[in-house]
Amino acid sequence: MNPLDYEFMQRALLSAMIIGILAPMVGIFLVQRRLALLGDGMGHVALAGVGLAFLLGTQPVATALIVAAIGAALVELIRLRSKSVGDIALALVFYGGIAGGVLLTSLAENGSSTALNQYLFGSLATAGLGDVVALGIAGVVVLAMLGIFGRQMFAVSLDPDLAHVQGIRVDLISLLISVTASVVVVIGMRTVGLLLVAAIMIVPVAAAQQMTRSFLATAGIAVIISLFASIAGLLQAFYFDVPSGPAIVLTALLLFAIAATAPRLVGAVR
Amino acid sequence: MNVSVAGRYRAKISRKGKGTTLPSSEQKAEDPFQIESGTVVLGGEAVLRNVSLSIPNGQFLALLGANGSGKSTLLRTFLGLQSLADGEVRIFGTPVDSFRQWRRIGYVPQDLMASTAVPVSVAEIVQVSAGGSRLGWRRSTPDRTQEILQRVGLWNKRKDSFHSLSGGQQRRAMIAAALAKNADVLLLDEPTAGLDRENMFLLADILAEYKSAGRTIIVVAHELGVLEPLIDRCIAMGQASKGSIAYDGSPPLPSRFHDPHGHHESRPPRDNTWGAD
Repeated sequence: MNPLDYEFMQRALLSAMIIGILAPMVGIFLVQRRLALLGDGMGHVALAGVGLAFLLGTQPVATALIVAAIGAALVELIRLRSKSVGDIALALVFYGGIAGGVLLTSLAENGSSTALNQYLFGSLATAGLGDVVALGIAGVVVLAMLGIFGRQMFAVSLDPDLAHVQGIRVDLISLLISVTASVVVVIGMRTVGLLLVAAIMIVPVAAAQQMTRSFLATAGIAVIISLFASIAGLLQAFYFDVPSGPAIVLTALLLFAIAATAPRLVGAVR
Repeated sequence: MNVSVAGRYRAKISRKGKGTTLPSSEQKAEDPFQIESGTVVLGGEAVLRNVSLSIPNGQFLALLGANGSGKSTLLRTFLGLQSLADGEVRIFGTPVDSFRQWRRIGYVPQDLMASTAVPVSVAEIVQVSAGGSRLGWRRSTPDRTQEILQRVGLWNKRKDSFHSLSGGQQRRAMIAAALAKNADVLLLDEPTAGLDRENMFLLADILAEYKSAGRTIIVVAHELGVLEPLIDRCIAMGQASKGSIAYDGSPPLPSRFHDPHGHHESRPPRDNTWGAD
């Protein structure tokens, strides 16, 4: 059976490829800023958005997008005000998000744990054409943001003080990085799921940097690893009837393990 | 930032009382850096106390003092990286918060903050600095990157990751990044720390060239070393009165202002053989 014979697989493959390209391109800035867990936290916050959408009867992805963007802004604001309480403040926002999400869902009439599950772990069959189109539009917006502000994002991630002396608005660019990350998390939740989408932002970057010497090369190789993991994970989901999100993430982790150990293994053989 | 007029007046009187030069207001507008009655409080403690200074164009200034004397804070205050509890900083006559011509300012921090997270190549560090605050990814003048990296002897290391370099090479890469901006003013925080003899002379050479082009240089250092012949003015931050200026004048620094412990700090022993004294 050819997976591409099925319309839902065509849509899922397209979604996974868009996420596969975008996620590490944004995640690399989080890794550079040592905020690798930010994406995971934004997933928690986006969950509150999904719960709210169930309660209000609004479109889940759009609602989650708004809530997550507000959450990202909140996190940046807290980080700006005090660096020392930064991680506790992050924890407060993130736990508030996941608790709020589950509570709001239980309050909603049509909300059930099954409805929530497809957002938590991703679901292939449920992504409609509208979802894919929305994903594509969001993807183009994120790419445009990276094209315009990416160099400034790089400067801020490398050293905020140096970026300030370059005349870059460090606070605004930091906010842009966090908001962009929250956008990627939300648009990835249908394919990979909220709990795992952040992994696609971080794991391919971690794998790529085992074998690179420059930022751009790391970004490029991370995208290739991520694309491969996304497509391979999706095919595993199709053939072995497992959820797509975990399959994609575990494939990426396997690639990381290979990248991290291969040079040493090769060295040992020599 | 409400500084009482009386407070400013007193500050000027006391500065004049010490016999230091405070340029007239006509000159000051052109000065790269001016700080007036600057006070910086960190963690409830004043690390700069009512400091007033003006650094004229073309001057090579050394900020000296022991660790924690406030010399690095003063440098960061000039750049708007440290906010003032009281007073005002002006860059080329513009209050630091509304200053926009950052192309004119080159800065070499002590360390790059996130150098170990994602690999960053030497060329990338120079290019991102040369690009300033421009939008988009278009490469900036590759010839200039080559010229500068050759100048600091890192052209053959341009593709290497910054983190894989030695301490001295990392510092040279950061100096190259600041030079790439072709700025009018260069501020360097402990540029000689960790440099071997050969590289110190290379740095002195580069700074001499910079100075002869009429540009302004501010260096934070424990001691002057090979840079001494280039320096026009020394400011020593106080030991007795922390956060204020103990000496402001031409080099060499009078021996009573020398930090008795600062000489040996974080420096290879052989550096002492050609120190300031």
